[in-house]
Amino acid sequence: MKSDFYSPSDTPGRHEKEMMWNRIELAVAEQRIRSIKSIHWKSFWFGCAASVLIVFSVIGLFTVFRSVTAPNPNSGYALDMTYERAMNQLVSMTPNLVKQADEVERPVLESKIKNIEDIDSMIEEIRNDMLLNGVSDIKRRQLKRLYALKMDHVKDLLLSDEVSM
Amino acid sequence: MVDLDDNRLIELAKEGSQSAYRMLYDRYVDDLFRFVAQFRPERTEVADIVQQAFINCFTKLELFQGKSSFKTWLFSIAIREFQMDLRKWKGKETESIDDHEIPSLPGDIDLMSIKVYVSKLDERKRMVFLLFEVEGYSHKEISELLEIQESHSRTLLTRAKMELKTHLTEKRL
Repeated sequence: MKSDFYSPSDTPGRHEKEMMWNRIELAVAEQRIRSIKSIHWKSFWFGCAASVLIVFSVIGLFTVFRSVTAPNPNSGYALDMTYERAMNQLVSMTPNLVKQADEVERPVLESKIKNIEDIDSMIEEIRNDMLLNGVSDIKRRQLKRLYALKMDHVKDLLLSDEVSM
Repeated sequence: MVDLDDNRLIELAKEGSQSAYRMLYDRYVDDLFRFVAQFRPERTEVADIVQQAFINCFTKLELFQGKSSFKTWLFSIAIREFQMDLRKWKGKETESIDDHEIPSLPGDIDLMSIKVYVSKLDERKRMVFLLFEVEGYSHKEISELLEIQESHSRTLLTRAKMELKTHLTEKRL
């Protein structure tokens, strides 16, 4: 009955169909763009949130890593104190050596003591720098070398009488 | 893509296939246009309703669950586009009529005469008559389409047929 009931005039013409389709197509496309836009905005905010989380995570990890691996700033001062105490014990013996030395050896010993005093002043400079600007690897290495140098001179002083013999 | 059934076309359309949208449109635009044309005399108004029904249908395709056929869903959307207050339908003429009481139309009827008289039925009766007799929907489907009770659909069809029969009898006399 369906095919008999409707007349050809009830059916849309080709032009009418295309007109309707063009509008439908446009509306569907607009709707799709709107949904894509909203998805993109969501993605943008998700991306921002993720970036913030990543930044905080990296900062946290870096802080933990530094606290675990970085040397204790006080360790530089502790090292200096140890060297200082050890060195003082050795140096305290040198005046007696100078007194006991004969006329020939005395100028040599005094020049070594002068060198030790120069080293001491350099150590003092680095120590002040550490107190003012903090400890660094370079300063720690310089300090270690100066103490080693000072120790060499003290050793030479201690063994000077054996050399002369 | 020509032989694809509605469900496959809907799946493809949901994935963004423009061809699938076009296939669904081509498949049902004539049916919908002819149906809507029985309620609106102006072709431009018919075109507007059909076009808007397809737009609503396609832009809300995600909501289609396949409980009814795509055509039924499309028709239900189009009917809402008529801007008829379907709520007024409910609660009226609810007296139930048995199936055997529904009058049958004469077999040798002039289809054009029927069409003329169908167009004179009020919208409710015309709608149920067309959906049942022309589009082939069952009363259960009509009740779902129009959100009315099945008994209400039967009653409206009976009254529509009685009116038509009266007109046809008068014409013969």
